[in-house]
Amino acid sequence: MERVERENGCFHTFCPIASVAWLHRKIKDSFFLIVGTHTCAHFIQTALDVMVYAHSRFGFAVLEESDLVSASPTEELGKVVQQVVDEWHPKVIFVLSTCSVDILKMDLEVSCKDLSTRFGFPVLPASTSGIDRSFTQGEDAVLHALLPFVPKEAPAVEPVEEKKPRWFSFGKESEKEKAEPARNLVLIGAVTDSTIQQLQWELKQLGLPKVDVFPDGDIRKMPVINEQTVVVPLQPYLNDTLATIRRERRAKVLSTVFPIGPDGTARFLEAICLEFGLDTSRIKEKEAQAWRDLEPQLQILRGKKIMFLGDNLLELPLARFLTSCDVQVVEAGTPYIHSKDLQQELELLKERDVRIVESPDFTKQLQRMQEYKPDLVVAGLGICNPLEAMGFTTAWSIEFTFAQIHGFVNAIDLIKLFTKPLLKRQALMEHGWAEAGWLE
Amino acid sequence: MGGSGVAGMKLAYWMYEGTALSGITRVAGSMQKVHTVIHGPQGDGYVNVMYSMLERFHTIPPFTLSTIGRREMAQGSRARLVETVRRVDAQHQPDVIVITPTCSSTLLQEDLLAVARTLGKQTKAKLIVPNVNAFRDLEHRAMDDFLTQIVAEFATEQPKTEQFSVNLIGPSYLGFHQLHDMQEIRSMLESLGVAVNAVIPYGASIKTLQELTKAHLNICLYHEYGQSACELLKEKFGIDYIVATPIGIRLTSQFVKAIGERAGLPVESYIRQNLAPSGTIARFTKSVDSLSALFGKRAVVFGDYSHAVGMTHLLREIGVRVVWAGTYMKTMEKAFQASIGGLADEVFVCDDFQEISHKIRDTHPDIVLGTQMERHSAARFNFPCIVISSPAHILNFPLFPAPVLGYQGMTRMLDTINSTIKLGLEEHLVNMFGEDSPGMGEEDTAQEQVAVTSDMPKAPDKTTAGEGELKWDAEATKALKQVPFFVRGKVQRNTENYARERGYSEVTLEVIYAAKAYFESKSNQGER
Repeated sequence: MERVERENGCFHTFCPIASVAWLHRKIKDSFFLIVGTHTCAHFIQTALDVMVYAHSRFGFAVLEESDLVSASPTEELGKVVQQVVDEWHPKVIFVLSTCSVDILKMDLEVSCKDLSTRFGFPVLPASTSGIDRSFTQGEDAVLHALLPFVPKEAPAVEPVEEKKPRWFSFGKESEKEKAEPARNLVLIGAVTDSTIQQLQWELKQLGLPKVDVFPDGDIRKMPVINEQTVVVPLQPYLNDTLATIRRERRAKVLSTVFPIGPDGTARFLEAICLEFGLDTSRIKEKEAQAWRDLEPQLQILRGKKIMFLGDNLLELPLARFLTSCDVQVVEAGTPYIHSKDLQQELELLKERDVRIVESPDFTKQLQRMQEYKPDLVVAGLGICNPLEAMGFTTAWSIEFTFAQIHGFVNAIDLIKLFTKPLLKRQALMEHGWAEAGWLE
Repeated sequence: MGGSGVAGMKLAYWMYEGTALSGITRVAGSMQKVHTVIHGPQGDGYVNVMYSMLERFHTIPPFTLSTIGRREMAQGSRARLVETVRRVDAQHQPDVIVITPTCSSTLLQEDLLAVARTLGKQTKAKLIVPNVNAFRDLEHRAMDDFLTQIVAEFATEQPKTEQFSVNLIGPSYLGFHQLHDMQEIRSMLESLGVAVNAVIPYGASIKTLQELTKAHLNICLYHEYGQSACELLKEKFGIDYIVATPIGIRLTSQFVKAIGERAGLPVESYIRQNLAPSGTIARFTKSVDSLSALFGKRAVVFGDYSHAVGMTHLLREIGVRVVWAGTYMKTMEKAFQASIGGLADEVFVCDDFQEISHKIRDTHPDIVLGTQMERHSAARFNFPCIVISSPAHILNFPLFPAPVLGYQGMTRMLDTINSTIKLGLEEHLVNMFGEDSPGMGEEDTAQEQVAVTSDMPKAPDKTTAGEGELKWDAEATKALKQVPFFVRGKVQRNTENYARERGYSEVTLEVIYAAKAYFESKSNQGER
């Protein structure tokens, strides 16, 4: 049964420039300069209110009316960049373009090239226009901008042992592959150092001692990506970056599910092990142990109905994880579906008969909500409180973006994002709120 | 920042004023049966976040996005707008649909007015397109223009109320304590025997706008916006108006007297009663503890026009010196200088938050009264701070009645100042014996500062390791460093206890992760 519907509707989400919130923390010695209007700046300070870093490594080049008619933005942008350089001494500046830049067809690429030469360090353009990107895709744009700093060849001083890695020689292909240079594994996605460490640890246990990650926090230490590289995305919204890696680096992009939840993590690790000819038998036990650790939480979730309105593009992997928890996902709304990069997730969701709605229409969703009567609605920040007042229990979708949810170790944090609102509701009911009536 | 006209793009970290879009939605969203269609890209829906988070909105905010996406860029966005307006008309059945421009629709040079003219013949709701420049205008300017536009649109000649009555112009959602202020002004007017005919925009319907002309006097509560609408009502309907933000004893007296004069009511006894020696304000101000805690202390004030002026007055009325007072309302410079002249050592306008931040650092004040931005700056330099003006955040939307205006507002401010500034005797003791070792709060701030600037966590803390040193291997140490500093100690202790109980001699990643799984699954309540 074809279960992807497209509504081309209006839903509640954030602008992609919001991704500076985590990216400026991830890339060290960087500065994120958003070229846009007052609205862009006002949005960021309003939306990221609770965690406004008053004086942070991101700022705005606010367009004035004279910029609208100027032939080239290079001079004006150069002045702003100079101020940033004087104050922050960054090693890299990302120049993020916005809707206005898009509409005005300002060529920031050329300006950035000129400014890189003038300042002697990378000034990188990234397209984060809200016209055709949604919330988390800002990360895709920034990673894409970083690709030129990903070397095609390993530096000459590579340790000798790397040349003869025993861990991939396997079966009949071993003869052929021995003659070839070593294949490397690169995980892609701006996740925290601790998540990376956990995934590297898991893979080391399974026999893969060297796991690279893109992006590294240090722009000078990006991993090698070439035709010998196996690339595995950690986030579902890195489509442009992956497309360019396929096209320009001829790297193999593994098609697997995302390492979110014990089920996703197990399949992710299995896919990598199979690719590198490693034994996968231990993964089953690891997964089983991870599920056992989640048991108290699973008891809360089993049989519950959960609906995703669609916001941060993590919806499909999260929905797949929930179905593995015996949750009935009544609807997985999501802004956009890249059918190639999400192929495995889509297949699993279809097997499990989950209704998927791309670019959902919020008004229609409101009606469906009345039908479904979900126990929990995962929704954007702008809409949770009204839904709560209507009697629904909600979880903020943005929390899934800001929390560490990848891998076996973080599975407990992931599942608690779902159980916490349910437990809260239950606790309130037990402590005086039952008599209010509307919480039933 | 700010438009000098010739200069091009400006570096900014923070906006003191919101956008035209936020201004229009503040006016329209505060009203009844008025729905706003925002014609812009997906991200412009952020106004919903302000309503639902800051105002803890209990209904879906009355804003619908008419999304400009790639398809609309290619094929024109008119069809999308028409479809959205029709749908809103049918679904919500509002009296008015405001079709608001955004930066993007302005840059695309969409003729919203033409759409409204054609479409308005088919919709039940009246369609209004705010006459603002969404790209250039800021929040207050847009509010002022739009309020005037809708008043002009709907106000009609009406017979005056029998009893003297006033309209309150200004209270709206997302203003700084404005709904608390509205209650305070209402109760003040009630004490004086003055009736309130209407409030706009908060809670107003089209009928409210039509009946504005029943009132004898318009009271514009904030200088930033609303005066143009008052001016229009004066010209067209001959209604007198005052513009006054009654903060502190002098401005409140002036406010009360101005109303009393027009209403022909005696107000002296009301003022005296509130300032009597037995009243809370006088008891506080004259109390001997405020001699040491407040008198001669050095304050700095920064905010919008109305609150900066008011707070400067109030501080002087309790004996605090104002080293400087500034506002970000650059268009109101002259009036600002005139209103504060003589009350502060220095008076200025500026909308560059970093400049203000540096000024605070260099002034070393005893207390800062500013916006949320100055709260950040003050925290950075460890000065006490009170937020007295937008830009605000969730903390400035308190649940308990918290007016800023009138005598109740002053009482509340005095409490806030009292609980913020270093008190007299405490200060003496600190001066004599030196500061205690920093408490948790200050330590947090200091450490966070370090964490923010260097991103370099400390090594495991040997002093808290307890009996029987446990070794942490390199990987485990690295993992511990990734734990946020404020829970790191706890994580370290828990992990070591876990390791000891199970007879590990060394903490490895395996131990850390197992310990985490153990402790996390034990805490089922989801505290994180």
